[in-house]
Amino acid sequence: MHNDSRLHAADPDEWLEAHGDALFRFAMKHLRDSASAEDVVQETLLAALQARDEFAGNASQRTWLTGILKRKIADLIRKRSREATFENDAQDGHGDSTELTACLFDQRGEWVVPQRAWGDPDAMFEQNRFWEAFTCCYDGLSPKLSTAFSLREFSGLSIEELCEILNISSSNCSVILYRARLALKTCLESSWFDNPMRRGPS
Amino acid sequence: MKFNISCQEASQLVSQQIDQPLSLMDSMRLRAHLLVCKACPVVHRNFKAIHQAGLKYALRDEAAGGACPGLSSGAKGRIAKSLRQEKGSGDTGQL
Repeated sequence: MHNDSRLHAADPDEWLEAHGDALFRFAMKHLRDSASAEDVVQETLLAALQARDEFAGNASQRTWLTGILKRKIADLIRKRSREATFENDAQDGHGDSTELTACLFDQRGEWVVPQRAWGDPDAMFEQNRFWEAFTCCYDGLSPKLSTAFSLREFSGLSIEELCEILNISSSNCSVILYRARLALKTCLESSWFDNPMRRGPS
Repeated sequence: MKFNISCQEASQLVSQQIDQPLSLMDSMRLRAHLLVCKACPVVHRNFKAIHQAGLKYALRDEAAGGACPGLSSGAKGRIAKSLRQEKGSGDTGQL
């Protein structure tokens, strides 16, 4: 048949073999729970199978599958945000990291400690030890902060999309992202920038 | 609202600016603060680095091998089975 090669390219067993692990890891960064991550990968591949005629050869398979996966992750988080409300009490925006803000700023809102430059980001991103520190710091975020940060930064959603998925107001979204960045900054400074070993071989 | 803002407020605006354009007033407040503050321009760069790191981190495991293992063989088996079932029901007798 003339379209044999195209059907081969869209063989779901091959997708699973070639992309399953990467899709799973991408999902784990958002959901941090292997059962949920496995489920969204399965849903993604099933959806891809049903929609394989829509796969345009001009995008890579990985990009196409990742696009479907992002929608599946967003759908799951949207559903969860409506079941157990993401923003359910006065805790929100004042809960897990109020203490952090209190440590970082004095009563007039000025930094308690001098802020130090990190240097060239590209050089930093070259170092495996930076990514080890980043992973630890990211894993240490509360579920609320990591969910918002992952949808915004890993999936690249806009603030409007993020608020809709999390079912919270736009200003609350901004506050949560701010707290996530502040927590990551503080953690990275203590685990990476203050670590004398960081320039060692990695 | 006052024009002069604290470092805490300025760092919030720095974060907000990564996600969406600021209002004209907030943008002027932030620029004025960054001109007179020693600490916040540094924080501005560090927040931007965290933003860039987030973008890279999402797609990083392919390059580095990654600390997180892939799908378990059990999960792979389950997914393969569901795909075969779906394919079987959707196909019109190919192979």
